[in-house]
Amino acid sequence: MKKRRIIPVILLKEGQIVQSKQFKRHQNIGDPFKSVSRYSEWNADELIYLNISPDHLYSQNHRSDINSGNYSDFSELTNIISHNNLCPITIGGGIKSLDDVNELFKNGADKISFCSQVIDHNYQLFNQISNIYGCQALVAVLDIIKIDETYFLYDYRTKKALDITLVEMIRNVEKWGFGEIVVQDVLQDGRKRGYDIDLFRLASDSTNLPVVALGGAGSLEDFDLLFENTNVDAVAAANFFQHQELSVINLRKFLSINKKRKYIRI
Amino acid sequence: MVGIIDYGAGNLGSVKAILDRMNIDYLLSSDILLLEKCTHVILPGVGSFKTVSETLHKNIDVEKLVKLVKEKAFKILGICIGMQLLAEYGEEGGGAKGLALIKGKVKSLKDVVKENIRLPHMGWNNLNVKEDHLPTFSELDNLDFYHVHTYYFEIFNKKDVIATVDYGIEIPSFIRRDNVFGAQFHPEKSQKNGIKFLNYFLNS
Repeated sequence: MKKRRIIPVILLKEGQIVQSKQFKRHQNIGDPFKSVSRYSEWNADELIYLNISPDHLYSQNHRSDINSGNYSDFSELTNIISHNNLCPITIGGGIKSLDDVNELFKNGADKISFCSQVIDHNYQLFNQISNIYGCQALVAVLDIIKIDETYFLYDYRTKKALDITLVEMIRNVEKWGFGEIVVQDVLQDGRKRGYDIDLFRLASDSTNLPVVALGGAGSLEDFDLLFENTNVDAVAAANFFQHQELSVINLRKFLSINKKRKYIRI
Repeated sequence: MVGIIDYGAGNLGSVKAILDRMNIDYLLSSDILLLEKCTHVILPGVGSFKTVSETLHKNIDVEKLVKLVKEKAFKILGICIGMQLLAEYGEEGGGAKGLALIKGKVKSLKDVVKENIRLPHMGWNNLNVKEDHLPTFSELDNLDFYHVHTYYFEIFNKKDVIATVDYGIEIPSFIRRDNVFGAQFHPEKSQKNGIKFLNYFLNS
């Protein structure tokens, strides 16, 4: 049977891994490659690597306080990442053209994710990518915020909810040729209060594309509640996996041994 | 020597990364004459069947490649779309001819799986080695490999199927006919199981 996936997310800001809380604070927590190797040793099912730097600031050249790492662009980073981890890698953040995408695939990316380009309805780009690389290479990241019991798309650039619902947006990305949807819960980001089950149930029941849940992980039990009560195909987390030694291995053991869930890869 | 066919539509970076990890020497080439010196050749690929097939025909001497494979000059392994290209025909993207090295057609999973099954078939799924092939491939039985595809290879000769995966239907995932091998999954993305699989191929 096909297994449900456990996916660590790495947030990169100006060459360093950061931790995020409710999309506002970004705390610096270290070297981008140490985590990649660690997650590789822990047999993570996949990796999502998101660059949240301001435009074209991939390196930390301009920062005199840090002296590790110096990368001229995102594809160079991608190349090093793909050599340090033999699992599927999704790369996202600041990607705007087919040229960017070609470079990233050439350097070992397996999937490319889009967030602001999705908000901006850049479907011509998505169609081009889907035709060349196949729909499985195209991942939509939908930032979602709950307002009065309704789930709306959220624009992190303006920090405002948009007048389009989660389900309406899912219809769009299906039409635009996406092969996977990451649903990110803006309110739960970094708060460790558990997953919003209603949100991820609605998302996963509204589409036949694989849905990845992101935002809210606080305990091992949270992951089990999510898998048992929704049809999400995968669970992703950043801070949760970053902060505990052997986190991915422990979660796998908890779900497959303690909870006897056969849909987890051992 | 291992050869990787570089025709401009491959996940070459990942294939190189795993061979580097395994300390295996390889050459990358679009020149079939160079590949002639290899004992094992890998045909990678990502994308849509028609586009990839056109790119392959444009960038390499396909006739020469097919001739060498039929003469058993080397063993060849197609990965993902690379495996699908071994077929006679693929319907994705409007339809195109394949290399016709293994009998069968590449068809959409949409037409054969139940309505509520998610597509693409994306994630880790375990191989079920067919009983006839268990003596040779028992070590690969039940191992998880990373799959990602919406089309599948409908194999004409059942005995060419070494192993399938279960996704509502049985999908051929590891196929072989003589010196022609195909993996629907990505060994280069399947961590230690991928290394084990590639060792099988390279030692065969």
